[in-house]
Amino acid sequence: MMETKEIKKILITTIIMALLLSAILLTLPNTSAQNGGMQVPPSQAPIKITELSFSDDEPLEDSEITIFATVLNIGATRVTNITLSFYLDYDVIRNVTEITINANESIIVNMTWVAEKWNHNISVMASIDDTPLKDSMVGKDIYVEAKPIGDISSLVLALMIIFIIVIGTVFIPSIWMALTNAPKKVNK
Amino acid sequence: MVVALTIFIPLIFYVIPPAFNIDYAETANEFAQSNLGFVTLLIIISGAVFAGDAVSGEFEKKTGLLLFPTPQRRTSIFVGKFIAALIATFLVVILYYLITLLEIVQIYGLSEISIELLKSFLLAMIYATSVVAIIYFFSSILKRTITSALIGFFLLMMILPIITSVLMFVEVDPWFIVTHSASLITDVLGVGGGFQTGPRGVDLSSFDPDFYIGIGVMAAYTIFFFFVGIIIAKRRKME
Repeated sequence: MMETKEIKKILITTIIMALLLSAILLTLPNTSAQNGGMQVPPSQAPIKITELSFSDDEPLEDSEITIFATVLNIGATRVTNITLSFYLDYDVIRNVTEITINANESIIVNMTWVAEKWNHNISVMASIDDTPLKDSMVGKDIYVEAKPIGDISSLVLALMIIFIIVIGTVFIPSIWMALTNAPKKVNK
Repeated sequence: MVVALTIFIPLIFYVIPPAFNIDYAETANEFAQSNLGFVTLLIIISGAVFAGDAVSGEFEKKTGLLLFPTPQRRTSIFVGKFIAALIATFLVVILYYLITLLEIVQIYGLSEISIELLKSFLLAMIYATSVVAIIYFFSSILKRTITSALIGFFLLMMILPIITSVLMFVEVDPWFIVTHSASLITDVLGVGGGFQTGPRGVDLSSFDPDFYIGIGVMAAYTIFFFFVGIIIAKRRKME
């Protein structure tokens, strides 16, 4: 009888231990993910840049425009430590670091840029731990209209100065000679 | 020849696109920019033709033997010849802009004519005075007409632009070179350059000529080369 009871105790303890262990094992990944860790490789993180837009699509040179990038987490877990890099003609102009996006949520990251004239390509790329995320680069072209240069009055003034100097070269000596009553020099 | 070129060049931009079923530029200023890209070339050709023989021609062809003994000061004669070359070059510039203007009116309508086109025209006039003064200077220091015209032409067409490119390559602002300032003629139209498709290297746009410095440089070249040319021409002896 005693042996059977002991066997039962051992069996029950073993079952309870197994259940506890499996419960711990099942809950462990969830806890880890909820604490911010990501269980997929960084390059395959479910992050997409869904939109890249500008506060003004046809800005004037030297005007300050805001660049908006909408970043969406399409996965079921929170993703942390995302870096968003903004590029101007393929050169990094700004990095926004330590971005966290909850599951199925999107955020808008923005930066300001002083518009330089003519055509430019502005792009944005997401990365985690310096590893670019797959299909996370979005680019857009922008045309910046040049500021009007100069004024008419300066040009007219410059032309007038040139004419006065050229014409003056002929008349000023004559006027000077007439004023000083000097005899007119004649070429021989 | 110069007049023929003045009529022919703007007509190319008007006739070629429809002939090859290509659309004209989107805006009037873009059209004007492509058209006026050649006005500097025309000014240089015109300056070489009209100012190249202004002084040297009198000595080379010995026509000065008849002209210099007249009761006129030599300064007046040489200034008169400078003004004559200048007026001829101005007429070429006016004709070129007039044809471009008519083309713009025909393609885009009268409302599309901008004030920038007037700025471009006035800049072209100032540049014309510089070109005439430089070639006039060579005409007064050199013996042969053809040499003065060619040296002036190649200096403005090749040597100064090459120096400008080299200076820009070593990241030195070539603000003091007159041909660099001449790019203001099309810059004032405010139409964009090419698309930047690769990583940004030397930012050449930072060397765009400043409007007021550009005018100053062109006016300074005109006044300096005009006065030096007059002084040398006045002291030159008939051989």
